[in-house]
Amino acid sequence: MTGYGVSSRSRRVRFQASALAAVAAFGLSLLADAALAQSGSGGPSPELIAAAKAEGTLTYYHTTAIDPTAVWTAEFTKKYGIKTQNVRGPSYPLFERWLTEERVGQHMADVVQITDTVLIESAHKEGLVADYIPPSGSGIRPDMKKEGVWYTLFVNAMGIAWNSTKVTPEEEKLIREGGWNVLTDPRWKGRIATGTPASGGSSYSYVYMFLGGKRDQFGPDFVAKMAALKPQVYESKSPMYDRLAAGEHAIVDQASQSDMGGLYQKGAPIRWVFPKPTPANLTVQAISAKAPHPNAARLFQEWATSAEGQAAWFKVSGVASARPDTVDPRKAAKADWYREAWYADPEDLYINYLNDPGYTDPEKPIIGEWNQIFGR
Amino acid sequence: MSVSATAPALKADDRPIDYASMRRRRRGFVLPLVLGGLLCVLVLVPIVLMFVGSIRTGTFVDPRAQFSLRSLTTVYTTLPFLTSLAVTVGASLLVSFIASLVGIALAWLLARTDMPAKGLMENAVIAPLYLSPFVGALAWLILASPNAGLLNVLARDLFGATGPILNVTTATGIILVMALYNVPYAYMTVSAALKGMDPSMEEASYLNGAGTLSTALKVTFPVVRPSIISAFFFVFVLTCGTFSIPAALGGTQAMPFLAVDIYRSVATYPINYARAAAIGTLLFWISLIGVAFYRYASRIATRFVTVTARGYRMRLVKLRGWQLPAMLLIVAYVTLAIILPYLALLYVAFTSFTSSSILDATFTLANIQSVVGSVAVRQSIGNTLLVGILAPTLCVLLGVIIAYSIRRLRIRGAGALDYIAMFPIAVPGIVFGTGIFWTYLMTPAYGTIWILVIAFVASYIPFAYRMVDTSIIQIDKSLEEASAVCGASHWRTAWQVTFKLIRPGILSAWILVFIFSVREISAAILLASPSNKVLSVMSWDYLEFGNVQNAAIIGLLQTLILVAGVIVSRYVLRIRLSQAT
Repeated sequence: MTGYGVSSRSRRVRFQASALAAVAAFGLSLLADAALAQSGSGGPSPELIAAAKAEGTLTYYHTTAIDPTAVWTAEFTKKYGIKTQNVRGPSYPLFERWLTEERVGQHMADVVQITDTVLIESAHKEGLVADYIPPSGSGIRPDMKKEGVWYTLFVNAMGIAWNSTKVTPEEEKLIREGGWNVLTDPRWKGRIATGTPASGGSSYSYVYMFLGGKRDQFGPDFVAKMAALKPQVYESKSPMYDRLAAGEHAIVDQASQSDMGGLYQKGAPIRWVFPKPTPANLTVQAISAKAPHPNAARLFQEWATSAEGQAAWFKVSGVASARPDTVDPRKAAKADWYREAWYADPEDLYINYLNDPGYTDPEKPIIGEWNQIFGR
Repeated sequence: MSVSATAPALKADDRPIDYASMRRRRRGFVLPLVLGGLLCVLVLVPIVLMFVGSIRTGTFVDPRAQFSLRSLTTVYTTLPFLTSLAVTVGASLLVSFIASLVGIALAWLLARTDMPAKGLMENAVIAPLYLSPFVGALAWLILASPNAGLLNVLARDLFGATGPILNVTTATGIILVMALYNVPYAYMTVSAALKGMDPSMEEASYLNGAGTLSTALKVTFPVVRPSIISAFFFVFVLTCGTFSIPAALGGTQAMPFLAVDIYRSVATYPINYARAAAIGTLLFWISLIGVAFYRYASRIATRFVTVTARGYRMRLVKLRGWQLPAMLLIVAYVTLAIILPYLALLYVAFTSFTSSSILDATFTLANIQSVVGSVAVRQSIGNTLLVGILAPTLCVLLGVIIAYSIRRLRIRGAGALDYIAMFPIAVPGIVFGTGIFWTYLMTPAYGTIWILVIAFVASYIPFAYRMVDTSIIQIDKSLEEASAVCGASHWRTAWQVTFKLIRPGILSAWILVFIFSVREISAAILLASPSNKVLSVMSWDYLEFGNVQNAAIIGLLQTLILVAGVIVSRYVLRIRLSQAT
């Protein structure tokens, strides 16, 4: 996933050019947005930088893939000379461990990343999350932050992916034009795989659209038809993508841009579409209330929400940004999958569910319902 | 030597060295209390915390948690868990049966027949120990998943096979892969018994006209039967707690398995620590029954004194026409357990993505470069080496002290110590890891490399203790008595005679714990933090992100470390793992 065969320097140049082009293209409203972002990000104060440098290090609990995250945090280290200790874990176990450590006074993490905003807000209520408004945070889209608590690092849109060597051209046409209902087609019996919403984060948000937010449109009937195809169910989605690329499965759902893009770059015969509406999930981060390096944590949060930090994330992982003023440089250059005839950006992102009572219910009832339908 | 003298394990009679009075004079209560206290903290506290955890509704520090019997009741009385239990026990019995059968056959062939190249063969048979079972399962997934497994695709392309010829994502597949990686344990136990057995009994059988088969069945088999039983239950207990192989080969979809249920309880929503702990207690009881059988059998098995001042010569069975089939058996085993998995891992390590068609794959060095260039990987190599040296050293040291105190000093409470030291074998790594987590959460050891060292010492003390103990029992006391009669002091006898004689046992134990510590994954995942990441955790993390390439490279790196360690011990310390029991 690291590097797309373009030197970082030329990528940066291209990014700057494309960012400008994007701003021009998106018109006044975005310009205003971008201006807002610019005005807010006069950059971190020299005092904060000095205090953070004095602390010298930062511990980052994250759920994103190891190597891309390391490449990304290395940009932060390069800029400020502050080393980061990255600890990766699966979303829920990592979060529970952080909770436990905080509760007993073993303060290790400075910044915590998670794909479940409900959990981070409950931790905030418990007083475990620091209140801090990074100046750059003003540039983050309003529905992608909870001011002072968590800020979105990136947006993960999820669609349907297929292995082009395992489907016929007619089937490919069907997938590209059939919308979500294509997932219930009996032809996929024994050829399809999916991920359990119990693994949390993006899988939960994805299934929530079908059983919660858009229940009228899809609902249990839709899920039951999918379950009838006896898909292989993965606890973790990434191994599922690997098996899709290998040809174990012909088609999978919950396909995210970053993972599919990564496999595409490696030459895997993978294609993907974003049917409407497209469920999206936020990967967010918050500062631990008792962070052992509070200033480094603030500086990191500031950098992560800045146009520069978000663009740096783009370089390692092709996903939608939480800032309107950062655009994927590949897109502007019509590079990689953007040049493919089958590819289209998601048009109707489903993201406004974060405060739905059904979504925030700590019991997460749709997981039980999904388990029941899938007989698990 | 006609009949092996049985060492009266805990009987105190007719010995010139008055261990009893020495014990009274020097030890009293201090040593048993110190050892007992140490074992309690290392072993009992984490287990007790598991039991307490099963009746809490949340973690120990969750302000909303209360006491409740709900999880215990659910796990012990409802159908999904009881089904899981039945399948776990049934599958583990099958795994032990298959692994023991193959292990016995291989041990007999290599210890009692005129097979050629025995040294090489023996190294090949125990070589699967150098591959983490988790990475082995990953390799088999690449080789034999139904649609994209390399073997199945080859069969389809070359021979026009229509369906999968091998499918490891089924219950049968999981059982066979688990059996494959347990053969070395069965082999080592039975092989040690065969090598230690007095061949004059078989000689007598041949002299009286019995054939090879009837000698094997009527003399050899009954004598090594206790070690076969102990091997069987040892593999059974290990299998019951195995989490990585069934998890990697399709989770609970292919076959319900208690250890996988535990992982699901702590890693997927709704997170339920009480249920994980309750399943842990269920597994604990099952394993405890297995340990009781294992303990009983291994006590009988090791009652024979085999290290004496007298020498003997082994008579080998001539295989003649059977040599080829016997060779084929070994070659088949080695192909399945080592050659194919390593080819699969090497293939994946050099491809840009996992392609099921070898001909269409694009090869690259980028994965190797990214792994070698990764700071996290370099740190975890250092940590792995550190843990790999510290954990077995401390573990074996403790094992020697316990075994010597129990067997030779015969301290008070020896029976209880013996039991406690064997407990951790009954607790699956993933449960024991949780117990260790809670035990050390509020101590300075938390988050450092030391918590891993403590976890591994506690987890593997049964192996170290049992192996050293076995070596001590097998020492003919007359050797120590001779030293005492010649005027050597107690400690001089211990140092110059006892420890010298059990040195192979000590070093074999060290190597075994070294291998376990480098490969261990379940507890290490739970205890990982920035300063103590080890390679096994890295491979798990990579696999979780679908980066099979890097996970395979890390698995190969682990093998390199293990082989290097074993070569050092083989050629520098002149110790072979196959001498282990």
